[in-house]
Amino acid sequence: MHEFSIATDLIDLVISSMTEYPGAKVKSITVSVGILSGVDPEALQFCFPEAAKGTHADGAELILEMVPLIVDCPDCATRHDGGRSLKCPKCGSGDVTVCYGKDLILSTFDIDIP
Amino acid sequence: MTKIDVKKKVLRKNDEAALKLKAIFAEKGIKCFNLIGSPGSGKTSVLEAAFEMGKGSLKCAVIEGDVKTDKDMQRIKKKGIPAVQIETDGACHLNAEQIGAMLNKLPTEEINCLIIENVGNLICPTSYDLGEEERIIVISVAEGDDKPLKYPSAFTSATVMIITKIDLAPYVDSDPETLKNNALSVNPRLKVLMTSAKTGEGIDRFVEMIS
Repeated sequence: MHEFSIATDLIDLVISSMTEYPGAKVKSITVSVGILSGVDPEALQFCFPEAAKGTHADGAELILEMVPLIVDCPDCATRHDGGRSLKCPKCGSGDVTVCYGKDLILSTFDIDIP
Repeated sequence: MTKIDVKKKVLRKNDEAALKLKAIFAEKGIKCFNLIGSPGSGKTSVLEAAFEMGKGSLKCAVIEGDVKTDKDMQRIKKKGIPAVQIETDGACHLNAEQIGAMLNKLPTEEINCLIIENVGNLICPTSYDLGEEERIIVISVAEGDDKPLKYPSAFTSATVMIITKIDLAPYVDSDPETLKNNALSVNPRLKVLMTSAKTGEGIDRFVEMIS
């Protein structure tokens, strides 16, 4: 289950983003999970506590926000929720550009500074 | 409590490593393909068939990824194509760092095509860019014509689909056109090849792609 290594990468990114606060403890982490990112949110939630043990994020709450697939269609010049398809839901065009929904993004995290 | 705004991709380390690979491939004139597909979809067989058909005319090398054994690497080498094996010992996908570490074991100055055969898995490889120019999703007719609808992340991440084992379609109640249309409904931009490694049908188009 690769969500454990994803959890580790997430924690590494959090730690590297708080170097100005060396003694701080992470209280919560908010992550955007794109619906087509290939990441299983339940598996990530399951792996996170173990991956966080012994780090500044030990005991932190992991908040996952699912992000839908949002596509821009040049043929009907509109932005749509693409569901789970790269086909424009309105005109069927395959020339859409993906705006959101394919990535796993660390949005924000909260820390307690001692 | 202090809130820290980040807004960065969690897998940015892999993305950065993949960008470095893209630059290396561009500099060396190498077109890179990342083959993904379920275990048993026919990834290695379609490569063997292509290397047999294109014998003497191809300048390819292969990086094989499997949980265990180097059996697939041995199969490729028997076709006269340089190949190396990554054994992941449990990891369900390859990453860009692993690919980078293999490049000095291959004759990169003599090839124009690098094919990475990923670990058999239709979920995990989706998230990991390996620096490829084309991601080929390999799916056999025995896997169910509705598979693209069940695995949209994998099919939307690919640029090419190779349908394999079409000679078996009548025996497994598959209609390859339905399978193709299901995939195109999820990703209309997929280039689709219909092949049989057994009969050789459609392999010439794949050979053309890797020439």
